Amino acid sequence: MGFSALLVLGCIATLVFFLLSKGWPAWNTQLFFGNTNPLDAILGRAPLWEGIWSAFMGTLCLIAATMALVLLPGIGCGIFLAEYASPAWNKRLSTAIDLLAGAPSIVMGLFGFTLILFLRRTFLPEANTCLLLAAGCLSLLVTPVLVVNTREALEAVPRSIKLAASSLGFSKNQIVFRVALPMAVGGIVSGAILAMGRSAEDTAVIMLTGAVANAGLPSSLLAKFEALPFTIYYTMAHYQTQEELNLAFGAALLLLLLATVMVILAKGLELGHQYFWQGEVPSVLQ
Amino acid sequence: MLHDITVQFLRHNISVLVGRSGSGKTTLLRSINRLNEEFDGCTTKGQVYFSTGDKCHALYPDPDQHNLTHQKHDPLSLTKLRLQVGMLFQTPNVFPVSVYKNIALPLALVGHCPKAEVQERVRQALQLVGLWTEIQDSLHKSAHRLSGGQQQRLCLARALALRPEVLLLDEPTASLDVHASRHIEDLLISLAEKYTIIMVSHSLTQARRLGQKIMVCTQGEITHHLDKHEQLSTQELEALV
Repeated sequence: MGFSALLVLGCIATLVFFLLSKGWPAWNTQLFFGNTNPLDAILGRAPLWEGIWSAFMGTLCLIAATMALVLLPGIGCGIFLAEYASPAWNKRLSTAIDLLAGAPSIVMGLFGFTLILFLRRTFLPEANTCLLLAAGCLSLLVTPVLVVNTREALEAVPRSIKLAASSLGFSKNQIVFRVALPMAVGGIVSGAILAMGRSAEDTAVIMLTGAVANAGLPSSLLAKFEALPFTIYYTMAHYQTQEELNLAFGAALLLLLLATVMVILAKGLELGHQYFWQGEVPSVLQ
Repeated sequence: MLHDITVQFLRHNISVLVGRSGSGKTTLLRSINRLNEEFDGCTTKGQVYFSTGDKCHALYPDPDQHNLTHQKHDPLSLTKLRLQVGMLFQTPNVFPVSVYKNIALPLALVGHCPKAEVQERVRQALQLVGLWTEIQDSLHKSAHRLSGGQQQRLCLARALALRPEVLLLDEPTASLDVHASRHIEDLLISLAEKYTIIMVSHSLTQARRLGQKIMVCTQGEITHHLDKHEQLSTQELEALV
């Protein structure tokens, strides 16, 4: 068992070391903004032709759009499965969620592309691949993660607590939303972070639904966009100079950093919830 | 499974249900506040009447709308029933929030207590169970920091804060040590002057010590009703069980 843990840790350490050694030397303003002035680029005062800043902003917008589409339905479905669904509906929905979880991401991308073709031929001739379509397909991809994490977090709430709340006169909805859900926040946040991570890193879906090599900063939900995973893939597939290769490694390091920040943010949210809801000063702050 | 149960619980008394495991004591207790309905597959036939002196309420909805007997007794909603009938469980089940919130949350959500009164009601409830002096400086700390006995008293305070008329206690001292158990027992004796207490106990000694009325449950029926003045010894009681 110890050897397995060491093996996993070793792989992670190798990956991080590899990315740091290759990507860190490439980190400079040129990597992010090319020849454009950084402040002008950030404020949108000047167009951005080079660098990975557009891809970084595109990724952030993609995560935000995906989470906006998936958070409520995903958590809501998880709550329904855990607390309200009859056994028959539970079985049907769980099967559907499992099927969705098993769908390959390239198939999801193909679905999105086919949807656009259908819309162009029927209701929306101007329809095109865009940020919204990519976010929609990614939201389908990450829904099972959110649903399952929410359901499991709620099912982990001790029965005795729910029974105690019942005996005090709490209604079903009060038990779910005022007692069980606050207790399940940790699990739900973990699910949301996993979902965010997946939507930040998936390439196959966005390749077919709106990501391009050069689109500048994201201008709207209905426009093409750049994203870090696609930039890495495209650069690695077509690089001709060492600088281009370094750009890819720099982008990979940035993506890893983004994932790390999301995990830290999740931990912070969990600790904050622990403090304000449970009245317990988290041990890391004692 | 319970059957052929007809029993009266007197006001401002401690009635104790004793019997072997699986004899139906807890099921009978839970039928009073309809908590059996939280368990899948449970059905209840018959009726439980709850008399507050001036009014008599039927606790279970009667499927027969034309039942004149039922119509004489105002049906009591589930929330109102559970406000008037508090419950304490075998294992302390404090909410994973602060001591203060454990009591304030039900007061606000179910008791509809005005915000200005919540603090005072929390203090009164904690004083009633003898916890106030012990934890008044750590009300906003997690309830899980309390000892088992303190947690059980907090659960009692939480129920008492809603000002019930009846207290249902399902082996309230089963998970506590001797000293904590004694503390709870003394508390129950003092509370019996104001509340109607119905408790389940596995300890015949405790039942003799606390119960003004002891009911022996056997295989889903109440086979013996004993008054305190009958003064059965523990061995005689054990023979009945």
